[in-house]
Amino acid sequence: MNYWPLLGVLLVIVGFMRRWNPVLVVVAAALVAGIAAGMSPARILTEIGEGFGRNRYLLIIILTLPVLGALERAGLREHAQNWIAGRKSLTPGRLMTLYLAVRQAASAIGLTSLGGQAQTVRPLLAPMAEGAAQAKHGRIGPEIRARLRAMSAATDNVGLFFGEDIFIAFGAVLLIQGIYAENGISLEPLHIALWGIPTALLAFAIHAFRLRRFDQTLPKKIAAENARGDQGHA
Amino acid sequence: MLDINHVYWLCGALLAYIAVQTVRDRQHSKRWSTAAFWALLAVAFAFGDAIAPMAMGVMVLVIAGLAGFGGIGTGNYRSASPAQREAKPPRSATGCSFRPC
Repeated sequence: MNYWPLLGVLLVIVGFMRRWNPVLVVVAAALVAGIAAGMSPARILTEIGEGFGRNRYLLIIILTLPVLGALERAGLREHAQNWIAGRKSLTPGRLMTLYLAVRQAASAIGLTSLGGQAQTVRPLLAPMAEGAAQAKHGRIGPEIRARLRAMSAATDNVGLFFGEDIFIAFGAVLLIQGIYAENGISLEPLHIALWGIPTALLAFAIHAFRLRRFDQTLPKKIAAENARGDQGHA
Repeated sequence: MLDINHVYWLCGALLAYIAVQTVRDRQHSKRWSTAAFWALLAVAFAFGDAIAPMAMGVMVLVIAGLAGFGGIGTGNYRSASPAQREAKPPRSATGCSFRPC
């Protein structure tokens, strides 16, 4: 057995840990794994080409971009920010907790495409979180802005990931059932989905707690960044 | 009948449009490499099944190289200014305002 192709996996781990450009890391890993497996350059190119052709459906999401572009041109992000600024009790953390609940509940009944990084996080959730932070804390710097956006995106991910497992007609549930069936354990998809519920509730509780802490530590982080920024300009 | 290929053609057309818009954006800092990226992606998308897998592999490497070595920039694309976006209440095609009450 030739284990050298696993070098590709190692490269992915090291590359992502060291935050190299992800596109280059993935392509380099494919080339390294291919060479280590003793493939000819022509064969490697063919495999990469076939893989891209088969999986290009993943990029169909770009068809939604013109709609989002039209909405953003009309100022959707600015208006979302202004609207949230008028809701004084909505802190960034509370806003995201609310979003988490809606996202998870929708995913649990199979409506996974209602939200997403492209559809709701960039045009709505992230600007609203930024607006809420600005309304409460005044000026926010680029680092805090990036943190708010990252937390918004992460919240969407957590909601989707732990919500969709409750829906029985979801691919991952059937995958779990298939793997157990192969190993001689027969499970009903309905039971797998039901036992996803405690995990989903815990995931909600844990992430809601993280968002609470995010809210609590936000003033300190904003002050720290602004202090650094002022020093830099002086 | 409609099948997935029609969706791919539509994606290809959209990507080709982005490529053309990039070429037309004279102030674009990385005009030609960005346009090449979108054009290659458009061809790969629209004609994915007609292109020989090996040629496709070469295209994928070029696309990844353009993206990975900083060949892509964002242009202006005659987008609305922040002031314009601030002023214009968003309206849908039906004329309903998105402005929350």
